[in-house]
Amino acid sequence: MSASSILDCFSYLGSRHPLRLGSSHGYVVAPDPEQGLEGCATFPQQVRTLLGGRAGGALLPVIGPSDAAFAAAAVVSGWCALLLTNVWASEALTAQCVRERLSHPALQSLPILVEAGLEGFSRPEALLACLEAFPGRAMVLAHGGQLNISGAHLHAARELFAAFPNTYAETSGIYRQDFLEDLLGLMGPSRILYGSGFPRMDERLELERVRILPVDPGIRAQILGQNARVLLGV
Amino acid sequence: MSTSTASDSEPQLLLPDFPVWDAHFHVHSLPGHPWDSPPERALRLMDPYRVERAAIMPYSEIDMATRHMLEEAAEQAQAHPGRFLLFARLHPGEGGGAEELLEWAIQSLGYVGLKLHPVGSRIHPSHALTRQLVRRAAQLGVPTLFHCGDEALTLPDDIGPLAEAVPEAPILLGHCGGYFHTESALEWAKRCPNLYLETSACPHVDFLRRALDELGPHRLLWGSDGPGCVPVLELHKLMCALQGHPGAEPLVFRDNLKRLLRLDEAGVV
Repeated sequence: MSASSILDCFSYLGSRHPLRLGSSHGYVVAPDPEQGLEGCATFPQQVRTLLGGRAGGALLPVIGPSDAAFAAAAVVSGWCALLLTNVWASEALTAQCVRERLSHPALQSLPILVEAGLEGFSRPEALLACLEAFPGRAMVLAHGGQLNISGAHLHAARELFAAFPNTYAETSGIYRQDFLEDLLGLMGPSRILYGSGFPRMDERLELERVRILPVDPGIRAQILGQNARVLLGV
Repeated sequence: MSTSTASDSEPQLLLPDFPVWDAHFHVHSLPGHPWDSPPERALRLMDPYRVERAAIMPYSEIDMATRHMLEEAAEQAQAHPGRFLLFARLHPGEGGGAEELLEWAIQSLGYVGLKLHPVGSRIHPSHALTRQLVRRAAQLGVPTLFHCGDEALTLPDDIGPLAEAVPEAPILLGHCGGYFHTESALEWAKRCPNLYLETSACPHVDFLRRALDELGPHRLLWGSDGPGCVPVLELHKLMCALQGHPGAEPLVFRDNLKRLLRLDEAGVV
């Protein structure tokens, strides 16, 4: 099957992940949430095998692995970014243990991807603290920086993207298409990255969310894969 | 190596091939505001995708002081005959005033539904004021659409007991419980036959398919939450969920809403 130009920059490698089902897209994936992280050092190789030469890579969860598991994973090649999520365990984004891991010498040049919008973990006020703790570090805020169907957090998320030029917006699950279009106008196309957010979100919907943007096909292609290739070194 | 760049970037949408009705759309003129939603914006999003009619409501609660908004929306609907179905978004805290407004809206202005948004009103769905307003809506023959998302006062656990207390009232759970409370919404809908799931803005395609399988096609209604959430994307989303169930499409995309609003084939009450 010919590889497509699409690179999904954020998803979890569950049993029904499109990569396992024969999709031709490229993927940057985090480990399966149903699995533990003790063996996460082998995850990049697992991803390479599944990709079979297609573009993609692995996300290293910062919160969840034991100290030994994280230390072993840190020195393995193939990580595209560090992932901050509360899927396996929860810590404050600026907890000392999180800061130490994000500052690991082997990893400190990697971008950080934050699963934004999670209550008690990654709403805009917590994201602000994280951004202030790591000035200048490339930080991808998933879901457009917020998940709220009242729109209550849209303004705060927008303010983060406006204030921190080192931020990027991942597109999965964004509430309101006009908010995504607004971010595009605010940040320019080079800071918007397509992601499916699987399994929380659905590739069938999330791809079209980007494809229907009223922009040139070249800009859509940027968002659908080129930006992630550049930022994540894929 | 990557190929087919042009086709990768082009939309590949699944869309119904018949006119549809949108159960959840906002029309509210807010000049200069990013959420400015005049009727023309609605029609620009509706027309290309055969959205024949949309249930429209403003972004804020209407009370006695702002009752003119009910008239203004009615005038906008009259200016676009056959396109808009009016839902009155009211503040239950007005007590008897809210009931008076509802009665006026339905009996004099042609409104066909009640919209309640507890994030805006800060009145709990189980509060006596809400219960009485929903009961009055049912007496007047109109359904109630609730914003049902992830915030306190709007959770399925907040609205479900109201549905149990007023079983004669058709209640729509708008957004199906949002990002994180869809399972709870489905459980309540299975428990209360007067609860319906309105699909707008809920991004979980597999969940919507399960809701169809577990509730049946008569309890699901398509809505967009436009104009912010665009009808074309919401149509595609639900078509993905309904794949393999073509018989459900006319019900979910139109006939269930028509039935709840007690409209005949001509779309008349």
